[in-house]
Amino acid sequence: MTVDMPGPMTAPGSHFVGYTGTAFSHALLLLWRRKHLLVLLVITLLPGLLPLLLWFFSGKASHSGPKSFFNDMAFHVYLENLVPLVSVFFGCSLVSEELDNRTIHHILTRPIPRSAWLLGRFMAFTTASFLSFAAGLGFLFGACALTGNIQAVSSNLMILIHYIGITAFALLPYTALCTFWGASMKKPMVLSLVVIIGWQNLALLMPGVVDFLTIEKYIQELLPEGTVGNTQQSLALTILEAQKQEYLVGTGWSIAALLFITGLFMLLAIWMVRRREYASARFQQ
Amino acid sequence: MPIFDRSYRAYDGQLRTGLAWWVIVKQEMRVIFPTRSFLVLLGFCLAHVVLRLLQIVAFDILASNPESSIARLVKEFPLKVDSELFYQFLTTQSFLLFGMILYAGAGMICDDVRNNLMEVYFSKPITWVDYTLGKILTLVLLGLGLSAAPAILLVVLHNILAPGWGTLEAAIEWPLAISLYSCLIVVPCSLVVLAGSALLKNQRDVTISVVVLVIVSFVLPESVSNIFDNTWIQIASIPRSIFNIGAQLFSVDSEPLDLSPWHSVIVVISISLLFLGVICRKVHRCEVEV
Amino acid sequence: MSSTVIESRCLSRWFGEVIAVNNLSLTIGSGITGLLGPNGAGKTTLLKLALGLYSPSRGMIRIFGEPPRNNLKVLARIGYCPESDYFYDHMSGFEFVCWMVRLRGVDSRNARKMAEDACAMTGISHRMHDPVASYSQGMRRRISIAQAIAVEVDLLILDEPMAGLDPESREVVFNLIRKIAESGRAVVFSSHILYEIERVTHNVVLLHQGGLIAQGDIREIRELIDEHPHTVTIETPDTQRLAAFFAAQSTTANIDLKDSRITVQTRDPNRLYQQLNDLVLDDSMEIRSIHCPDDNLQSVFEYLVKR
Repeated sequence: MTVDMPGPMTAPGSHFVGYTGTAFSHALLLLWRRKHLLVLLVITLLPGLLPLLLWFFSGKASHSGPKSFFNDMAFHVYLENLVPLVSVFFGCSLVSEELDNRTIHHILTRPIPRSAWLLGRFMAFTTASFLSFAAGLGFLFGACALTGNIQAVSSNLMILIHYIGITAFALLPYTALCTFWGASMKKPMVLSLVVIIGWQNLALLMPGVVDFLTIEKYIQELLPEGTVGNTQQSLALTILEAQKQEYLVGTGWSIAALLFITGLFMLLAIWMVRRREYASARFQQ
Repeated sequence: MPIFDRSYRAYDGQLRTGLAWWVIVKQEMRVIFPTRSFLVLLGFCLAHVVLRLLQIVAFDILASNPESSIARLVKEFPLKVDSELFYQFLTTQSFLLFGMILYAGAGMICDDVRNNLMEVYFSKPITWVDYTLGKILTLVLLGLGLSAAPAILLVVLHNILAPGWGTLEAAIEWPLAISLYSCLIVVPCSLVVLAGSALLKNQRDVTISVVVLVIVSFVLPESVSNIFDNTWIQIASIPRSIFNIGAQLFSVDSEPLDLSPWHSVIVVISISLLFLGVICRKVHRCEVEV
Repeated sequence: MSSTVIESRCLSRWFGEVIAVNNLSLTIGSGITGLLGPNGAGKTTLLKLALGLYSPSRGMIRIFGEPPRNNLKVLARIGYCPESDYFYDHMSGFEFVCWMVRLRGVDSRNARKMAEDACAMTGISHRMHDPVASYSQGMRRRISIAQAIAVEVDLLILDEPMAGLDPESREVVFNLIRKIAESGRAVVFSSHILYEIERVTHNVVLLHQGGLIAQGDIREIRELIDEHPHTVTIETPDTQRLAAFFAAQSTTANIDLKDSRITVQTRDPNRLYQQLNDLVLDDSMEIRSIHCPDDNLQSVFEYLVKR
């Protein structure tokens, strides 16, 4: 049998942004093909059904009014629970998905900078999560407006934008932290959940400045005035009689802290990916 | 020249029946225990046991000698060894156990399917019943080993440190309550994790799905119940149902649900049977396909 | 051998207490090089060290004169086909090859062209748009090879490329390797099957238990083992006379007669071949065939391992 050789072409090479873009679109395509995006969208849209169900069955929006209901749901359901959980899932999957599928060999033998690959995937995962959460919050807001006072929509639109903004700032550090965990360990998910859910809840109750070592502290600082998160925090401060008031950080510093956490853990994750030998049997089992 | 028979021979021995599941348990234990992350989680569980042990020792020392130095040190803290202590111990331990069972069990079935180990298992004299039983018992034994076993040991320790009919009489019902409550925590938890592992493709999906399910089960029924002013909706919360039964078993006043414990028992058993059915169906299907 | 492609000095790599590569010093040049050894010889570990997937526990390894670990300049010059075939699920073979090319920094349009060519070269064009999940083992192997050869590289590393291939696919891959080598690129491929290596190259590296046993042309290696008797089987109707002739030679180690065949073990194969030539030319001796079972990697390998 003869082989006709058309003659393969030489790779022209690319720059960092180009590589990042390729990794981004590759990760996004896989998210779509594996139906992760669809599941994510369903999960983020589901809470929006609650005010509709409430309105359908009881004929009224809620006891506290649509604005308060939206605030409660946006904080307790989205920011407190869904955002960390989705971040844990995507952050931990970022490297370990390639390890599980044993496709990491292909990636590590391409001349793509590890940082570009990791950053591209990180951007794809956070973009997908952000868009889903934005859609979910929008749907919830629409449902609250529809079942409550429709005229208040335009005046309260800023709250929706505010929460979408907080979601973006919350997704980044959580996903970066879990990316680092995922790059360091073979089964990172349970320990990530223990750290994010267990440690944060514990640290927020502890006196002093221990809560500065959590992500939620900075997220709470970004909440709109008079929301449940802020109320709970000030109540806790009153109970503990601690001099915590002076440890409160402003919005600007909180955003800076969240971005710093993101940058720090992404750098650590890149360092870890360069250092680890993912081809070894320990990671392939 | 002697010529030896090198052909295949029939196995002369007797096949051991009824204990094939033990092979699975041993194999799983061998896989789980050496991992570092598991040891970290185990450390958390044991740290909690040590904390409670210190609490009991301090209480018994205090009870035997109220003038001791330790008595002065701890008199500020409300030390008490009663059924509520064991209820609190097991309830707190349940969160740590959940993490550990999730870590150990999330990949138990889906990893076997992915690595074609089902074919290996079922080509041996192991049936799907042995396989399922082995997997469930691994998690249950692990869970009971860190809930019921240390709790009963703490009861024994309490009786040794403070001997007398009074202590014995008060503690006589605790081992039974501890065993029942531990089983109620560990068995449904193991079944939900294994059902997730049987249904989904990889342990990451299993972990996140089970966690979402538990959180939703915690939060949603209560929220909906408050919105609709209907306490019956709370029955859908499995963790609260388990805590509700536990509170009754230990005669603790604060009940997590406004419902009868018998309703909770029915719900917990029904859900456990549902998860068991899912596991059996999926594993049985694997055996049939093999 | 011309330019050096892979060079290692005192290279060792161990995993816990297991030594996978043990004090290995070798140089591999351009052309086709077969990495031969039984399972667990350290072939895959050596290739992964060459790719920078592992870092050496001791010693050094250089690819094109540079350390390969996290070295993108080196990786850009290497194509790699791993031992096991794992792909992204929910993708077709063509898409997989295309993305592997794109991750090398090639733009989408060129990547498609390269992927199409690579699929054509490996003979899977007719099925390249089917999902990978529907492929047979042979098809999966070909896709794995296609992604390695899609881009023009200076070094092609193929880890057990023939594993799971049917005879027809093997022919395709054999020809492909030869063609690639003819175009001036270096090809290093591993196998534990002698036949596979013999089909494409005489240039081998023999590994056993992580160490280098021999390297070079298989015939040169054979000559190096001068103390190992070389076996030649000669078919002749006059076995008694021929046996008497060889028995008189001081270099003959052993003679075995069976029907019309005589098997001679000699310590000086060159002299034996010369004598055989003379005997053939002499009309008084009829020689029907000469067979050298030793001129096969298997015997060399067995001998070297047992030495």
